[in-house]
This record gives sequence, C-alpha cells and structure tokens, in this order.
Amino acid sequence: MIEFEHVVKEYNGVSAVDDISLELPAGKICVFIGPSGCGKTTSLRLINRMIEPSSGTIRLDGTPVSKIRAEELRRGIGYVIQSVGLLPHMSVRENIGIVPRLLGWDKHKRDTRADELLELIGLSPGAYRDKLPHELSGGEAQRVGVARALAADPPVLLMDEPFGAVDPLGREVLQREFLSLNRELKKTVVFVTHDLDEAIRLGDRIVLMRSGKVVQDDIPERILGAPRNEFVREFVGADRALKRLSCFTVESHMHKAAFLDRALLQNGRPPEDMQVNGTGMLWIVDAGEVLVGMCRRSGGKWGDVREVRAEELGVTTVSSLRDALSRLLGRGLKAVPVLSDDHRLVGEVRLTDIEAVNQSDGYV
Amino acid sequence: MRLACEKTTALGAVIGIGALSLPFLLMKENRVALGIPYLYHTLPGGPHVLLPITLLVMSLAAAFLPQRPAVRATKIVLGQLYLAVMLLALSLSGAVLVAPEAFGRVSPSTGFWLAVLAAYILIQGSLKNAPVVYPVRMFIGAAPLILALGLFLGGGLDSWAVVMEFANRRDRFMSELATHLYISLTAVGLATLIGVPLGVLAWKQRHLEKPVFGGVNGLQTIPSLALFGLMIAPLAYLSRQFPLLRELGVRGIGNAPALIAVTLYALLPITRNAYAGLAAIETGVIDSGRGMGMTRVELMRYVEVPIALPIMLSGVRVSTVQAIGNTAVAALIGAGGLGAFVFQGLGQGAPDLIVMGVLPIIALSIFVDRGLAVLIAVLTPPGQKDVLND
Repeated sequence: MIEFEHVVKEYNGVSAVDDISLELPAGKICVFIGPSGCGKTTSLRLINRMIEPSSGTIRLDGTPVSKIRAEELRRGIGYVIQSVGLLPHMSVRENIGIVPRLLGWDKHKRDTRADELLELIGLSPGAYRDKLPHELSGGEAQRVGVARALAADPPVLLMDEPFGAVDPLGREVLQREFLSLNRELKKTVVFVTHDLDEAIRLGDRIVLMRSGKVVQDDIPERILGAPRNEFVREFVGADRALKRLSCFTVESHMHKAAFLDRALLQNGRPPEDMQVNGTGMLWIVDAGEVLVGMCRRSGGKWGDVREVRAEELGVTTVSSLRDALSRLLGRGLKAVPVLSDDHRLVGEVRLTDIEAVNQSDGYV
Repeated sequence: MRLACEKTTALGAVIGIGALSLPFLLMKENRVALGIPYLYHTLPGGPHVLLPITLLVMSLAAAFLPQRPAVRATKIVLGQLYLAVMLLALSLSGAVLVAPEAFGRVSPSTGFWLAVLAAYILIQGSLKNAPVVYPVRMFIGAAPLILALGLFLGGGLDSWAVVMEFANRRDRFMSELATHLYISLTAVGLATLIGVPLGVLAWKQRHLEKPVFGGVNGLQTIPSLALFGLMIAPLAYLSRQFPLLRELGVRGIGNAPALIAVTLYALLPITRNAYAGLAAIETGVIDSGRGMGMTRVELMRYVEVPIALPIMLSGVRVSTVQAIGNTAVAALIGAGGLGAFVFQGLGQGAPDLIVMGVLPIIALSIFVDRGLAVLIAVLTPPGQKDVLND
C-alpha cells in the first residue's frame, strides 16, 4: 500500500503538487490522470524519490520512503517511462538483468530470469534475448521495458505514460496484455496517463488531478457516471456515457440466450411452435454448442436461418459493454451472442441491458 | 556487340602512359642546384621503356574484359609491377647518374609522381568492392611501401636527395622525431585532462556551456603562428620572475610555449566530443537508470562511460592528428621537432630537406589516426556502432 500524507512539492514557490493525501491499495492499478502540468508525473516520481517532497510524507507499506536509501528504494520498485530508456549498448537480456545485477545476482540467475520474463511478455527468448534495443519495434521495446521493471519481482510498479509513444493499435494490444499480466502478478501499479480511454481500460482507481490537487479519486465508472464538478465533467467529455460503458464487462450484464441445436431444425427452420422471450432472437448451435447461425422471429413467424461466423458476431465474457454496443449498432441487432473462448454460446447481451446500465446510479 | 569498359582502370592506364612522356627525375649537382630533367626513355638505368608500356597496354586491355575476380587480380598485379618498374628505374638510374659527381643527387619529378598516381588508381580501382578481407586488402595497399622501404634500407635509394639529407642528419632526425612525439602527445594528454572535465562541466551545468565553448572556440580561431608569438612575452616574464620555472625549462621560446599552444589547440575537439558524447545519451536512458536504483558511480559505469567513451575518444583522435601538425609549426619558436627540418629547408632553399621533414609528419599522422581508429572500434559496444561514422 502507498500512502500520501499532505504531500507538497514546490518549485520556486509554485506548487506542482499541492497538499495531496491518498491511499493507493496494494495489488490494484491506480491511474493518475489530468491535463499536462497537473502534477501527475511529479506525484509518481515522489514515490521512488526521483523527486523529494517539500513537505509531507509518503509511506510504502507503512514505512516512510524518506527513511529508505534512495537507490535501495528504487531497486525495489519497478519503473517504466514513456521513452523506455533501454540502454542502447546492451542486449535485451542484459537490459532486463540490470536491476538484478545491481542487486548482485549472479549471471546465470539473471539470464534465467530474463528468459522467463521474455516468455511472460510474449517475446520468444531465443529470438529476442540477444537483440539490441535499436532492433526492436516501439511495442517490443515497451514490452521489454515492462519486463525489465519486473525483473527483480518488485511489489510496486511505477509507469509514466508507458504506452504513450506506441501507435493506437499497438497501444490497445499492450494495454490488454498488461491488464491480463497484472491480473496474474497482482502488482501495486501507479500509472500516469493523459489518455482517458487508457485510464478507464486499465484503472481500478482513477485519480483525476488539476493544478497539483486531486479533483476526484474514484472508481472509473463513478468518475464517468458521477463527475464531482464541472472540471471533471468537461475532462471526461460529452461522450462520457459511451466511455463509461468501457467500465463494465459483458459478463456482469448478460442474459440467458435462447438457442437451438442445428439438428432440430425442420426444413431449415425452427419448429413453428417454438416460442422465445425478449428480443426474438434464436441462436443456432452445433452439437458442441458452438454458434453457427441465427434466426429472427417477426410477425409470429420464423425467418430464414442465417449462417454466422461466431468470432465476427459474438463478444466474449470479458469484452466491455462498449464493444457490445458497437456490435449491436453495427449489425442492427437487438442482441449479440456472448461466447466463451472456444466460441461456445454462453449468453446474450441486449440493447436494453446497456440502456439499463446508464439509467442506473441516477446517471443522466 | 558493345564493348564494356571499366573506366577507372582505363584512366589509370592512360595516366600511366602520360607519365612516361614527362620529366621522370631531376639530376642535381648539389643540394641547391637546379636539376636537369630526364625522361623515362633517356634514363641511363632501369628496365627498357617498352616494359612499362607493355604493362599499361595489358591493363588497358583488361579494362575491356568482363571484371571477373581473375581479371581484377591481374590488374592489381600489373599495377604493382608497373610501380616496381618505376622505383627500380629511379634507383638504378640514380646510382648511375650520381656516381661521377661529388655532391650529386636525384629527385623524382612530375613523371614519377604521376606514375605513382597511375599505379594507385590501377590497384585501388580493382580493389574497390572486391571480396577481399581486411588484412589482405591492407597488404596489397602496403606492398609498394614495403618495396620502397626495402630499397631504402638496402641502399637502393641512396642517390635520392631526400635520403641524402636524411643520411647527413640521421642522429638529429631521431632526436627531433622524439621531440615531436613528446610535444604532440604530451599536449594531447594535457588537453584530455583539461578538455574532458570541461566538456563534462558544460554538459552538467547548462549555463556554463556557452562560456566554455566560447573559450575553446575562440582559441581555435587564433592563427597558430600568432599564438606561438603571443606566448613569448608572458612566459619570458614569468621565467625571469620565478627561477624555479626557469629551471623547469619554462622560457619565452622553446618547449614550454610550444606545449602550451599545442595543448590549447587540442582542447576544442576533445572538449566538444566529451560534451557530444554525453549529450548523445538520451535523457530517458539516464532517467530510467536512476529510476532503477543506480548510484552515481553505477550510472557512470553502466550508462555514461560506455555510451560516451567512443565519441570522446574520436575527439582525442582528431586532436592528436592536429597536434602532430601544429607541433611542426612550433619549430619556429625553437621548440624543435620535425618542423625544424622544414624551416631549415625553407631557409636554405633546399626543397628536399623540406620534404624530408614533411614526409615523417604525414606518416606519423596517418599511423596515429589509423591506430586510434582501431582502438575506438574495439572499445565501441555493438549497439553504438551507428553513432560513429568511421
């Protein structure tokens, strides 16, 4: 756990961080966000003493960081920055092994650990361990940067716009990977960004800052759904209703779906006397419950069964409601199927479910 | 069918043939006399003129053949043979010509130097892009030099005016060479001791960047002769005031002002490259190094030195080559060194003496330059190779 207690950082009488008190819970991703100059990066760098506060205390698991020697503190905290900062004259393996080397691990142990981490971040050790940083793409370099930060298995990770220099497509991939990585590793992550979508996608908590002060410190759906003041409302933008949908997974809002085994079709149609509730959608599956088609009932009659490709039509349980909405609108449907990883039908999400989300919590 | 012609070889062959129609050597009765020119075919010694002509015609013919490796190799051999013939002719004719004269000597003339150029074009033109490994390539390039050195050591060039000047001053030559090396290398050492900290300072304290570079740039703009002159008065004064300094050899003229001036000139490349080397480190690299918990010393060891060192050293390399040249001028204020021969030759109107002083200066510069280039290449980590262009 990281605690800020009345932390102030002044430069020539101007406060970059102005009396911040926060508690960042262990094992969660906490995102600092705000316009440039709001003090988010300063706050992050105060944690590993890259910057010393003018007053106030920062505690790491109860111990004030000022009581720990700066180098020792930093070796126990992973650090990832936007420019990555891989040492250009060292191979990927040596780069990952820097902190272990500072900690005095022997070479064999460092190399084993580097390979292990390359595996973890999805780069084949055989192909990547001996590469030099300039031979890596932006996304690969950033993955190596994360691996390097994880090398000595620190409980805390500080990430300062780590994916900011990567193209939008690559950024989403990195975000998704990092999210699933941390679901496993359960590091306490402090993440700085100015990209609201990124904050919503990654954050368990969002700390919105302005002029060195915390404006709102909340879970993402409340930042979007219940902005504390005009600044927050403006910052999250007019499309906050849409953004807010990113906070919810399909899993928590899906319904049971009506489905029929393909073998039970009569002359290529569902039995006329078959009734369905809700949206009137009937999903056709094969013997393995894999989605293969769909059929709509209108005017009391079944239409033709249309063959569908499961992965094109369906969303997965971990997709956000925003993804689901996008599919619904794109297909002109009232519901989309929810599939497991192996394309088996597990439920459906309806347009009405999504409407209900935005009407709950008194959100308008 | 269209004839394809390898232009470089053709050019070399044509220049080679032209060289045979120009004065090949000058015969002088004594060191300051005007020479009598001899064309190649009028030389009293050496292979018949038909031999070099045949070699060149064969090269020219080879230029029109498809450039297979065998053809390339043949052209290199032809070029080497041509050069050997020229050296041989010079050596043999020289011996014959100077024999009856008490102070007689010969100097190579336009024709000979043009022939050397022609041979260079023939050899290097065929070596270019050839799949030859570095040591072999170096040996092919050095072969004519080895031949010339062999001739020189074997006494085959004793009739050369330059060699005669050298023979008359063998002992002094060695001591001046030592002085030259002492002044230039000590100056580079001092400049490194001063320049590297200055460069580091300019990098660390951004507000000092301008004054530091203003200073070293300013020094570089003073003509070397003027700087040597400027040094005389204050050092003479100091020397008179402080006997201790006088005992150390500090006087208005001589070694001390030379050392100071050459050091000041060597400062700019070293300071600038020390700064540039450090500036080449991306800020993110240093930030992440610190963020990972490197101490000041570890940051130097793992980040700053490996990245900056090759660039710093290439500054030292430039400075060393410059210092060797500047030391030659230092002879003017009595510092000694190989420049002494140059100015003596100028004073006596003996061009061969000038050449005798200049040749080792050039050789020294090239030798030191290549040597340091190899050292830098060895010290450059693989990821930094693209930083240096050489």
